[in-house]
Amino acid sequence: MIIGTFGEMIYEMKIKILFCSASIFILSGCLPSELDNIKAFEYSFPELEVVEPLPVVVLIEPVEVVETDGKIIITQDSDELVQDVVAAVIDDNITQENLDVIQAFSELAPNVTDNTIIDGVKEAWILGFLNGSIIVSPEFLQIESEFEASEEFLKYFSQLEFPTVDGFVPGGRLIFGSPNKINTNPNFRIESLATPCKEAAEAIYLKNTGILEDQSNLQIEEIEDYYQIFIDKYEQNYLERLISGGEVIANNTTQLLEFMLFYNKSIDALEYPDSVKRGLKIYVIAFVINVKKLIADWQTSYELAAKFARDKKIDSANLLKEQAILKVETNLKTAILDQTLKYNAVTNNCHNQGAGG
Amino acid sequence: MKYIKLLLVVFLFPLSIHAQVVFSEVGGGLSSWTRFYSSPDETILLVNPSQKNGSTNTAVLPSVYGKVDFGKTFSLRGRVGYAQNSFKTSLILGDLVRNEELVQTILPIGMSLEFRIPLSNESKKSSEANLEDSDQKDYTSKISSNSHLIGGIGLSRYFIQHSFSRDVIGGEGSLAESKFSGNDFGLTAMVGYSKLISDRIVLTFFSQFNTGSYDHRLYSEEVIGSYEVKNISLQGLEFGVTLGYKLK
Repeated sequence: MIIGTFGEMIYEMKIKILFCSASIFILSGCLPSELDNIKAFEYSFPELEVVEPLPVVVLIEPVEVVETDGKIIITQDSDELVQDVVAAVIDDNITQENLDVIQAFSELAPNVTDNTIIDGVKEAWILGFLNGSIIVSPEFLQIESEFEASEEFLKYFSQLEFPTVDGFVPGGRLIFGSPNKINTNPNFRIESLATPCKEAAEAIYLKNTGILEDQSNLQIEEIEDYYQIFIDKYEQNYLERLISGGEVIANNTTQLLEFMLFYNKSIDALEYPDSVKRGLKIYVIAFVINVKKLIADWQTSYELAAKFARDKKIDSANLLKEQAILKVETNLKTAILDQTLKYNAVTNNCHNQGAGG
Repeated sequence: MKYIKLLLVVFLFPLSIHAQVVFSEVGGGLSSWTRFYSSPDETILLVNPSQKNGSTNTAVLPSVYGKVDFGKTFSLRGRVGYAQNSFKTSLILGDLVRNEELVQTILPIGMSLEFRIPLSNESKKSSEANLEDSDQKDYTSKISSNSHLIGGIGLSRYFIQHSFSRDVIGGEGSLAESKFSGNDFGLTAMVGYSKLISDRIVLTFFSQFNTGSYDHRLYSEEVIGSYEVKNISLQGLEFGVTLGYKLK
């Protein structure tokens, strides 16, 4: 290494410092650095930022259905006849009118002997026949059918008051219709459009309609829960009614039975000829067989009425439920239409007027 | 780290021919830098850009330089320039008007290795003449500092600053001026003609070809927060003149 004069050394140092400084400056951090930029423009739509909540639908309670149990009643004519016969046990004085009726009774089924009739109709037979342990004989069936065939004798039969539902006697199947469901599926979806302005508006629009649909779904859920309580109650009531109906029928049957037994005992105690007793016993036979038929009819009509009442109440609740849901869906449709109109208004400004979009 | 070692080696390397290493010249110049784009220009960073390639863009580029000679033929020139441009675009959407503006400042800082070829024919004839040594030296020195053809290649580093602003009419979203900086590299190739117009003043006419490009982020309006990187060309041709002061 040749060392020159001190001045030349200084000069050389200066050159090197200049060169190194320039090199350091140019090469420092040798990696290129990309430039950042301002954030992208974000579209805002004040009109779409407000979402009015859906109106609350007031839920209506189903109207109560009035049900009656029905009953088997003893006619006035029957009661007067029986009262007369019962009184005759003491005073031996059946009225002539009633005696004429009794005589008419005794002329039925002439082929059946007095003994068969008088000895056959005992308390055991009445009890056994009504509880089903004794099967009615053909002679007695003949007596009852001849009795029933005579129109003037019908007033001496018991009458069945049928169970009613809101004053109506159910018979057959009724179908309660519900209104045709209107297609409330909102068909205002806007097709996705390409420009950022419309995409931003569409994002807000979809968010808003999503909020409204959530509110709608929640309201519908509340409606269904509300009316389901009633429906469950009606089902429970139906089952309870079937159980209680058996008790009602049994009580009524017991009363009729006591009536018949007392009447039959009275006949047995009468001091009247067999021809009169025959007529009275014929009446007992016809009456008891008829009562058993009425009890069966009553049971059937009672079950039918209970089912009818249940179905009517459930259909009423479902109808109210559907009407409430329809209101919710209509409100939703209106709200979405409002959002759609606002969306259309803001996106109209997104149309490029010749300067890009 | 490797660059530090390299610089240390250079620093410690004795310039055994130190008498020929001369910080010879400083000066300033003015050139026109015409950029031509093979891609969209800076408007791609603004709203509603044109998707076509950018048109030619000319900027005035003042500069200063310093030169170190290595002998009579080679020299190292360092240069610092300054150029500025602006770009504007608009977007009209109904009642909404968006105006965006970008002011660009570029500082090209470069170093180039140059060679010079003396152009005077008299230098050949005199060299052939049988002159005395002292006369020849004197005559040769006069001839070599007169006019030269120069050429060179180099490396430039472009320091770029962008100043953005956004003005929104009929809606929200206006932004005050925001500045962003970055840099990138490019190569240069230069040819020119220099002439000593006095003992110390050198006039140089040159043409320089600049290459290079830089990367710039562009944020998406569709997916907020995401961005892509655009590469924008710095390539162009300079035509200029410098006036230098010879130090020795």
